[in-house]
Amino acid sequence: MLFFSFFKTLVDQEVVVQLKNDIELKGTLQSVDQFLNLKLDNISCTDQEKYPHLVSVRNIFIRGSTVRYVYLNKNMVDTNLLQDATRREAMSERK
Amino acid sequence: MSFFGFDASGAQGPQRARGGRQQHQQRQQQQQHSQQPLDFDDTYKGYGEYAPEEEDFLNDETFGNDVEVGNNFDFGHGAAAAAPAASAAPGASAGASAAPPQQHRSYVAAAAGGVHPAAPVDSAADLKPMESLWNPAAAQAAPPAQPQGRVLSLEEVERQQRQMQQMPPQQMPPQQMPPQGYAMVPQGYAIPPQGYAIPPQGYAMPPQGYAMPPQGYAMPPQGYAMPPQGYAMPPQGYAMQQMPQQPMQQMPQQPAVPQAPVAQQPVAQAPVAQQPAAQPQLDRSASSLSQNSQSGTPGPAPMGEAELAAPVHQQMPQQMQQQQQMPQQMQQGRQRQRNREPLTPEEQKRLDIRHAKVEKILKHSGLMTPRDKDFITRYQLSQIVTEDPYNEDFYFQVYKIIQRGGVVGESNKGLIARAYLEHSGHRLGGRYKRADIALQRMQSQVEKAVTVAKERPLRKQEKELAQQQEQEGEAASGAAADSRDGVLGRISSSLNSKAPRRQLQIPAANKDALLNSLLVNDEHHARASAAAPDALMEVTESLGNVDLSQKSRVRRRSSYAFSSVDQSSVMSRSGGRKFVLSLIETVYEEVLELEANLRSGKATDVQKLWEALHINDELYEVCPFISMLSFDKGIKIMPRIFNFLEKEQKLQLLQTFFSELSHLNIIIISSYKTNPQPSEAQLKQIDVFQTVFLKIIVSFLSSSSNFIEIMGLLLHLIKNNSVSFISTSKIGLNLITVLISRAALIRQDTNRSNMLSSPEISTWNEIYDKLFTALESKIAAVFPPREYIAKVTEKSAGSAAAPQHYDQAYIWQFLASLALSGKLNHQRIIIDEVRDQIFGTLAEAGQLATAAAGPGPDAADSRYRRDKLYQDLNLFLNVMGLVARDGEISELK
Amino acid sequence: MSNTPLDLLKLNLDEKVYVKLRGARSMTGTLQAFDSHCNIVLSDAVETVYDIVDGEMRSSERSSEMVFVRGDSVTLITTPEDEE
Repeated sequence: MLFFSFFKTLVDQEVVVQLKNDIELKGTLQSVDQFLNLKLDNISCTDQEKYPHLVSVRNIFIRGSTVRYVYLNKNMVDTNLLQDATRREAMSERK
Repeated sequence: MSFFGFDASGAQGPQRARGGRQQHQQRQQQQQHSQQPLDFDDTYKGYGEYAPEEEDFLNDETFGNDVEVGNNFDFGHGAAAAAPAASAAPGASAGASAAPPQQHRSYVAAAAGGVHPAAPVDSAADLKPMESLWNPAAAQAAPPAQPQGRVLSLEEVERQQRQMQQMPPQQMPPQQMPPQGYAMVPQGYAIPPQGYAIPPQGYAMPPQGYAMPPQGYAMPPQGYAMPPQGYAMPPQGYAMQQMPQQPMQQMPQQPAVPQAPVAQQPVAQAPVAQQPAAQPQLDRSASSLSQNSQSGTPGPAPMGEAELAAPVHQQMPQQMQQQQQMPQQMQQGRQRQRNREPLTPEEQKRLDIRHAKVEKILKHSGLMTPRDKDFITRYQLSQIVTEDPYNEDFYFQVYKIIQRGGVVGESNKGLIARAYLEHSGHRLGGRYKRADIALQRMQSQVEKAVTVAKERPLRKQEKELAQQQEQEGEAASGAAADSRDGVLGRISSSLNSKAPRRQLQIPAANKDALLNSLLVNDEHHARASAAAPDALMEVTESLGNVDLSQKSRVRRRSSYAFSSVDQSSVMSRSGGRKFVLSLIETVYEEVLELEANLRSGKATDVQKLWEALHINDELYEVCPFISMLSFDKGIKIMPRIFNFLEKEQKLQLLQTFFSELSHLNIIIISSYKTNPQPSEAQLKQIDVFQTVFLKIIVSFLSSSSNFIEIMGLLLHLIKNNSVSFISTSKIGLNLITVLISRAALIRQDTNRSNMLSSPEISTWNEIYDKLFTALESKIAAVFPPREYIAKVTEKSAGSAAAPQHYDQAYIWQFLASLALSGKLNHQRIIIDEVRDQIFGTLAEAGQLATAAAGPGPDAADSRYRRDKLYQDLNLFLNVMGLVARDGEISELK
Repeated sequence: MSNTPLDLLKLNLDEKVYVKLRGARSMTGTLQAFDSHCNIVLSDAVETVYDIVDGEMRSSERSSEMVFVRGDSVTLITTPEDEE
């Protein structure tokens, strides 16, 4: 649940998602579920020449398992809190 | 329906939903007869026996060969797909359920059944749609003799498939879009189409399948042999196969009378057809649709309706029969169509448009019943909603509170998150978020002390002289005058020749003040002596304590100072990196647990936390606690640890800290001697330490510690470390400043209220002397060399927009504190040693003043820097009753 | 302190880590979060992608201030050499 919780805080933020097939999409995170499927709005393909078929796509559903990276900005993340949340998760899993 | 038979659209849903319901009801009937338990093998039967690979021939059907598909080629719900979808629907559902009828139980049906298990069976309602489906077929030409109940052998099935493959795709226009069930249930699907192509064998299959869509198809070849008890009307069902033609069917003409495709087809039926899985209605409308689209015949709607009214018992057989005939009829229709003209493009287009419309309207209608939806919704909610958001959704909950400023939130969640914030000292100090708060507090502490001293410079100094006189038996006023002369005279004389105007005036000694101070001191001394026995014991005790602990660390000291500058060697001497990291994580765990307890109102037992800190661990050469502070996270957790520790524990922690300061990684990297070229990361680390740990120390010292404790800490520092080394590091200098400025403040405060005992004062003087001795002749070394300053400035320049300048305020604060606590001779020595820096700063300020006077954008910056330099310098000079202004040093008025 | 693999990973929270990834990639950065699927968040990360062009191995780097890495790409996580 940690990353589900984490991504929920990123809703309405602009993120860049790199898929495992190297496609990279920039867009506003619209929603996320517990499988970390993502819905992006107002997307733009960062490499349109390479993937012209995505030029006209405005919003997209991304199956979580196809994601390689999600690039974020530092100010979107409270690192101390995130580390605490990670520790709590690790503790609760061990119990 | 989609590529390669995989149904991504979830089109099976409707079938399950509707069919499930129906099946459920049927099942209930059946179950009254036989209560057979579910058996996996039965359930599984049919899957994977026939590899779907061979069925690539369907690609032609999928994509069409010469078939007009129109503009709205839609994989999911295209009109052209309707017929095959319908015919395949049972197969698909069979694929999904693949169980003997009475055993089959879809999830949705199960869910629905769970909700109202005893739903009355209305078989009429259930079966009518199916009936209607087969109406048109029933009236068709008599089907060939039906091999009743014959079980197809595997060979036969394969033969059929081969024949299928040989069939030119265009012969099967309606199957352009293979139903989704195809790939999943090869057999199930394979048979029905064959039924079209090769009436005899294939024919055998559909009846059951269509009659009982899901079940029948679930076991195509084998299923045929399935015991009839599964069917609602088993005997009839089978009987029907033998009675191909039922009089009731009025539809034979249909294929023969081509009409506008869209014509009479009731909308309500057509759309459903596009959902291949929607059981009965679907089947019905699908068949009609297929007729419409391919042969242009009118839909069977009237028939269906007529049959709806018919008694169930009669309908059933008919239906079964119709089903048998259906494939044939369709095939014939198709053949006829092939013979006749195909749809005109216009017609096709209209058809497509219409389907698209209907499609839109009813795309997912009926996919789920309200109850299904409710079930799903509740299930989803149960996945997402938690009773314990603080634990399950910790990051989100707390993050949101922080984003909103930590104030909003009347809700429980808000309170929880806020409780976390308050207890955790989050963001390096809970509500105090300003990064430089620690330094500010330290500075204000020094400034406060200086201000007090400034207000009565003579009184203080002369009082000290008096003390000195009393304690050391020196001549009071003479010595005072001399030393004062000495301090300032030397400065002035050394500068006389070069800069006569800088000559410093000797402040006239104020005899009255001196007398007063003596008087005051007498009084104070008298009182102090009265309190002496107790206080003396106390002091001795506390300092004895220090000495004791000092001895115990002799072993550590032996390996000290510069041999320990290498972080990894320090680390290895306290158990190794991994060990220290695991200690830190244990500490985090304890703290998190304590915070959780605090939140829930449980008692907090700090014992485990205390043990985890290893403060008194003598096992290692360097206390593991010190090494914990080598990591950022070790530093960051400190404020939260301090939330829980008892005062005694905090004191002990700080004693350990000050004793082993030389081992402290942060001292090593912030000293220009051991780390002349600090990296950006190291500068950041220094910053973190200042904002976090220094703040703890300052607030601890100013809120809860007394004079003796401060002396104790200072003594720990002096006795166990190389003070001259520590003073070359910014952090080290800060720490010393914090201690001595706090001590000075306490002395000033207590002087007023006469609280300090003379043993305390004499002890302090002793400690101060020790400190001063350690620093003497090296005071100027607190100023980092030019190269170091340049390096640091360059490194930190990237982070800020404005050009950075090395802030030496901390050095002047240190000197001010040092001077403040010292006597005149100490002050004289200090001034003497840093004279070059004083005048260097003056000169720099003078240059800046020139720049500030000129125009240009740099002027403001220069002005600011000039003022800052004066401000810093004066903090120190004010202690001696002097002030620097406009390039000159004069007496403070 | 128990010693499951994830406990070892926890030691490196807020520390620099080296992460090897599928597809000839690796990444270093400060570990900010992880879970049992090895999903991780790194800050100040530098990704290196290796590629063989004309029989020669080349690598390209890309840095990002904060990045989420999906766990199924991760093959190993360790401490960078210079931190040992």
